[in-house]
Amino acid sequence: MQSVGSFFRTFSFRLLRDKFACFWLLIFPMLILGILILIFGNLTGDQFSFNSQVALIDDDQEEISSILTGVLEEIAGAENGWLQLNSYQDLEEARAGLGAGTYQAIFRIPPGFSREIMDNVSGQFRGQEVLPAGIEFYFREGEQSSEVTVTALNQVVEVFTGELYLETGLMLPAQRITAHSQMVEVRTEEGVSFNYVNYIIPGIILMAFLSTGMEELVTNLTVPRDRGILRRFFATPLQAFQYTGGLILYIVVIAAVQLLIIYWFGRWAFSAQIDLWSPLPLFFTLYSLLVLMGVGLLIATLARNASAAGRLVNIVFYPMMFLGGLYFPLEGMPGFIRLVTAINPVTYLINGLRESLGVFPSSTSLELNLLVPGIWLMAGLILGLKKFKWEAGQ
Amino acid sequence: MRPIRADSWEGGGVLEKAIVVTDLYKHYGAVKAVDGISLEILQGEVFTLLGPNGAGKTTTVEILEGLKEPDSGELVVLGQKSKKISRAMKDRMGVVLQQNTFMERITVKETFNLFASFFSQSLPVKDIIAKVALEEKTTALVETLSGGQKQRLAIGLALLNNPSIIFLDEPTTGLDPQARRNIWELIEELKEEQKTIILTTHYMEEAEKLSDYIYIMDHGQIIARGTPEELVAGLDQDNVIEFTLDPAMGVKDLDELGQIFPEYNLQDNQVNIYVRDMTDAFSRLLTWSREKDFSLENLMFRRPNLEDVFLDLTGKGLRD
Repeated sequence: MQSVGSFFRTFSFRLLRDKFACFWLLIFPMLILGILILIFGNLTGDQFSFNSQVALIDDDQEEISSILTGVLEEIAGAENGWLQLNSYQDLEEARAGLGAGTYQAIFRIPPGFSREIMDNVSGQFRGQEVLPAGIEFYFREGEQSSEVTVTALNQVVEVFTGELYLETGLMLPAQRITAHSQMVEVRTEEGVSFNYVNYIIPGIILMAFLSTGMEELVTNLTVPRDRGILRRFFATPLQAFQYTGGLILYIVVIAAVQLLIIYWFGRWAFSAQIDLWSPLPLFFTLYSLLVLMGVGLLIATLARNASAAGRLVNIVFYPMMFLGGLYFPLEGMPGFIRLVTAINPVTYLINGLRESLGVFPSSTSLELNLLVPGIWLMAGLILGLKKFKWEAGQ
Repeated sequence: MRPIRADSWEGGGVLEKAIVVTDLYKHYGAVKAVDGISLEILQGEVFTLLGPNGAGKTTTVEILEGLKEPDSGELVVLGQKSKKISRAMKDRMGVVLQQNTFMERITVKETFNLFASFFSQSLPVKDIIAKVALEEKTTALVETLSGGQKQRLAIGLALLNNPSIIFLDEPTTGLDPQARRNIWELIEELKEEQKTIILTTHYMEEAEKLSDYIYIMDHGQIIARGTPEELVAGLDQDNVIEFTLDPAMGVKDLDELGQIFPEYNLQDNQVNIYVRDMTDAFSRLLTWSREKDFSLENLMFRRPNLEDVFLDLTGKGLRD
């Protein structure tokens, strides 16, 4: 067992002396995390088709509020309109719909709205203080479609204000109808609050594991073999499992360091709120690393030599990363990509990890999240243990 | 089997057998890499395996190093009988492979420490580093070493477990003369320490200088064996006349030469004629060349050596 520890130390020394590898394994995940959050920070799950469902509540039911709802209905009635209106009487009921993701926003005209406007207009001529009339918007925090909807509704109100005061020939800034926006915390069906930072962190963790579990394993099995380094090792009493043991220990430790760095950086820089330290998330994290090592073993076994293995890693790495839903939800993709997604173990691992962390509900069942990656792991183990060549060029 | 040379060891006792191989076979499909060889290696001797490329010596050595398993045959290593080299046997062996590549970005000392962990016991790393004169390179990264230094590292690694048997597979190939001489000195030292050394080499001079006993292999079989002196004596020729081939000489002329000197060979552009009576042979050669008007450039008389034995037995040069 002494040699397992020796290999662990040797691999670690080598990594620490390799600035590029250190950057790639330890710094790059932080960088990509930051970049993705900057780009997609406001992303939501139902991002990709813009179609605003708005709950409309007219608690005023007076002349001017009717004109305003009329305007909205007209917009909604337009061909290829972006707006769908759903009338509600009860604010609480509408809020439940917003929370469940049925609506992007609530448009509420509070009681007294028409009267406030009339007072406004008449008060202006009497030289009294002008108080703005208010509209209420409700939207989901951090969700782009919801925020865009509110912005668009705001524009509608702006134009409406302009038209309304056109006849008076004078519009004071204070006469604008103000929109009171209220953020609503989103609860999906499972009671999960969506937040891109929390969503992306598990994705970055698996991305880092792809380079550690898969790439490092393949490189450290095939390159030393092809260069005759392993051959020299095996001319001593050393056994293959001792070399592999040291390599796996090294990979697990590096993965743990990556996990801690990403977790700490996510919390420190982006106020991530994920709880990794519960049994299920930890299980999925470890399971992911194991499965990716299994895929690595499969690649190392199937490839003839180190350079073929390197190419195969590249061929597999990018689809696994981009078509595994690590960075954004993959829905509505064309058939071929759907197939890649369906057989990609990363799809299931990330679904399982996100679900277990409570950051996003899994679109696949827990059984599938365990089974599909498990098949890859078994394939890698069975084929690798039976067929991996410890000697070059055979 | 050759008799045990009881008198060849200073201790005066009977030399123990370090390795005994009986009826060893290793075939790759139709290729008979090792085709039923038997050999005996005595403790404390430098045993050299010679053979042209493809003769099967590398496969034989790899089987003895435990890197390959034989198809059949019996091995007795340091008194332990086995079908293949066991881990316990490897624990008492040191190996310098033909090509020694090391993990990069680790230092000389770290490399020694890594290898030390593979064996049940190891000598102090510091002592070994001193023995192979790498003290100044202890903290240097392995990839920064020169060819000679890398080879000394490889030998140092082979000595780490204080082995009884050391394999040196072409230990000086590609080294400059000074580095080669350093390695030879090291091997002489090991010989003095009564280590059993199994050597393969392409350098005739090296084999002659270092070997106690030589086996020559070709086509997977042992075709000759003996001490360097015995092998040279086996040629039954006392002298060699050597000269560079005149470009004007045709095949017909060479046939004619062969009729005068049945024991002759041509290697690259060099003609070697093996004779017993030098004076008589030389006068005949001179007469013939004068008649034909051929020049005898780089004419030389010398004693036959292992290269000649090798050529005689295999028809090929050691380096072919």
